[in-house]
Amino acid sequence: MKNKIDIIYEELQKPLDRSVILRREHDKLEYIAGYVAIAQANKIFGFDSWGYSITKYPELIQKDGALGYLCAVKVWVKLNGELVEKEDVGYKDVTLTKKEKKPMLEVAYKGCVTDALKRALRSFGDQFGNSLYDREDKLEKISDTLSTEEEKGMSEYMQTLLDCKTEEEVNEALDNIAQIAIQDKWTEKKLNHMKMLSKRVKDGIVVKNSRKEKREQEKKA
Amino acid sequence: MIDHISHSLIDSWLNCQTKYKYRYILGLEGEEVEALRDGKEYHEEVDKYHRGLEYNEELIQNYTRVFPKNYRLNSEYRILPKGDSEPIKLFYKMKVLDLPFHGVIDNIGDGFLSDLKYMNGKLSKRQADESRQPTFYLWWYWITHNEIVPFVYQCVDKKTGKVAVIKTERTEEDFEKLCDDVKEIIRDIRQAENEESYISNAGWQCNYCKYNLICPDRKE
Repeated sequence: MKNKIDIIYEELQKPLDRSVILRREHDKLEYIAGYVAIAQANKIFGFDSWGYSITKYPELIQKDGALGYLCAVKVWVKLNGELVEKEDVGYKDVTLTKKEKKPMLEVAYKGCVTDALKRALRSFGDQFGNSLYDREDKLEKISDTLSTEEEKGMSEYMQTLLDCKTEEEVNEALDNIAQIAIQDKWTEKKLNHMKMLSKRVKDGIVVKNSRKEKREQEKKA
Repeated sequence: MIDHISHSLIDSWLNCQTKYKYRYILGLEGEEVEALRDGKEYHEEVDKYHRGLEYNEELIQNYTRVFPKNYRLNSEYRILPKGDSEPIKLFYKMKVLDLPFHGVIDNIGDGFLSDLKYMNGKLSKRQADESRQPTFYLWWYWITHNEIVPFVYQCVDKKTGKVAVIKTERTEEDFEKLCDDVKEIIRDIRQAENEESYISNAGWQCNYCKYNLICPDRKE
């Protein structure tokens, strides 16, 4: 029978479930939401075995001509009867409301605490999005992304993938696309983009089909 | 680049900018969402009923019991989809917008406009009062007919087949506010198009999105 510490270490070694990862459109930066990080901590460490404190309360600062809040948070986790502590800083820009252009101070104040919490938690590994902070990896992702103009040129093939109902249809569509890619001498970037999209479509079809099966089973029951 | 305005374009943008990009920038039809297929069929049968064509009596029996045939579709005012019509003149009077208005309205009755909703349950009065859709079409009617009329939602419950009628009204102030909001939205859209930056709004609505399968930000 495994003890609690072994179970925790095992969980921490696992790669992060990609479905919880969000992506900022403007710079393609991947991240996890604050509530996801907290849910992960509760799940892995236990509700009563971890917590955090604000070691530096949010301070309004000016950075690169913009206003933002900066703070620091310390996370503690009870592991094997001992307290393990990780501390990090957090920052959040003060943005303006769309209509009245008023600064959203409260959002930034709370947001910087969430940022610091996530950054402190990431010291515990990939379950808290540590790999998403890898800059080299992010740069590759940015350069792999097609511009809107390039995407427009691929829209016919994107629609073909959207019309697929099964994984087999997606494979067939991708084979056809690969042949066109060779014929028309596509760049590796374009072809990789289509491969990535077809994988996404297949994953989506698998989830939809399993939900459909579950609903049908529930109806029968 | 944005070249027209419609209720669904504005709605798409406000619901999820990535959805807007897929539909209006990349021109993708998307996949047919099962949950919306029944609604489309219901609309088509109601349309046939009003036009005096053969229709599926069983499917829309609750509707035909409530709405008699003289509740007709006035095809003279049917606004056709983008590419098939002249732009509606109301936006020529609003020169700052410089974009034509396109849309399709279900029905123009005698002294009111109406829209058919095939859905789970029905719209609440509050939802009807807060919806942008009636404001758009009542605004169009006010410009073209110089009259403010009420808007009626005909809600057909998917599960029970029950029909409910929800009435909502608008004022000139509402039209002015919508105009201001639309101008700001157009500016935001143009900025996003220039920067090629679209923000997703992932959530429960991803399950009903036609672009769910290819969207990198979909919520499972």
